[in-house]
Amino acid sequence: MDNSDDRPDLRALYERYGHSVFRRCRYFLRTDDDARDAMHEVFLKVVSSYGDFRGQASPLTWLTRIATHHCLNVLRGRKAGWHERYAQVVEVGAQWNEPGQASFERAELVRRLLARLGREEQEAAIYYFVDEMNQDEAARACDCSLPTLRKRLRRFIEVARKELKREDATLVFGEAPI
Amino acid sequence: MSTHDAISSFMLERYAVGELDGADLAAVEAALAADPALAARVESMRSARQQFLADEPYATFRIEHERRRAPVKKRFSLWLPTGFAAAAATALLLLFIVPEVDSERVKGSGVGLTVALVGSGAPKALASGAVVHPGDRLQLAYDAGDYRYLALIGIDGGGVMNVYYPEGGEVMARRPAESRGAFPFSLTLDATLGTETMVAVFAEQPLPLKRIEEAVRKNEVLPGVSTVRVTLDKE
Repeated sequence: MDNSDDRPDLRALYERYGHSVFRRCRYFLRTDDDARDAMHEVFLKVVSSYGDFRGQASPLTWLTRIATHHCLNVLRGRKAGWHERYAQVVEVGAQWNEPGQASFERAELVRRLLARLGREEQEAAIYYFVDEMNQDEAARACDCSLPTLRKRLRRFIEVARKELKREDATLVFGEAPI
Repeated sequence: MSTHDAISSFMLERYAVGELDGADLAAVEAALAADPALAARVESMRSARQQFLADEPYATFRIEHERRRAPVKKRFSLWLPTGFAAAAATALLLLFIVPEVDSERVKGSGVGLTVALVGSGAPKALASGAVVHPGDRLQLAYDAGDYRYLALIGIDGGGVMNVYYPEGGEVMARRPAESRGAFPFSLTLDATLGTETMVAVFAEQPLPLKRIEEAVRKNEVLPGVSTVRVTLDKE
């Protein structure tokens, strides 16, 4: 993957992981143009911080993490307005019968709740519920212990349940599956 | 596959991009062999990646990457009359591209010249023989290989020769530490139609530019010198 100590083989990185980075950015930022712009910024960070990566086992985990951080920063700066949240809800409803609905709904729910979460809970929820990492993988991506990850996920579930309950008071939840 | 099975979705993605080995690889392969739906999912991931690369090829990505990486440049060289230069310069967006993107190369010499069409849309690398038009804006980049000195010469459709790089001076420019880089200007094509020729000249010694011009004009091969030509049809 690398051709010197601190310079990545950009072609190899892009051709192998560009799609994953783009998809991650697309999930957060919604449009291809925004995702493409973010993807380029992510790869600039990848090049400038490549020394930090060396020795880690999974480039995908590393790139996913950089992309997630970048997009969360973009969203924080953007402070999505009510119209965007409304558009998201409409989109969710419109795709109710599409294949992969469960994953889609879960991902949409996480996105809707991002603004209500702290940065650490945001990351944990994204890696676990959107990327569908297992807990070990998510803990590595968050650079935290398993108990800490679980604590963050439980916090996310708590917020998510409050949100869902607000929308449908008849909902009843069992134990948190974390 | 449901969320957070023994083979996580993220592990599948890692498998699809080929970064698993050892026990993880064996576990995923065993799961794929036992579950056609899982195998189809991996295939879908790979297809999506291939489609992405077809839509967003590395060449396009790299040009934009270099543009974002480049510092703001201070000078321009234009093929426009002076009156247009100031207005055009304010609109120019300097792009930096690298020769590994569709460059013309001299076999065995390690040198190359890349010409890209830049403007409002995505930059497009041009192969020798490409059609261009008056007003098109070009960015050029070089791969000097082991050569330490370089120059860029242009010959327009009317046979007029210009030294575009270095700007001023009597001899070839010493290249920066990096053997690959972009020339520190962009070019806007004037109205002279015909064949535009770009000649990148690489040398081990700082030869006089007059001598280089003469050699380019006569197609003469100088010792210790390597040249790359890109011709464009301006219509």
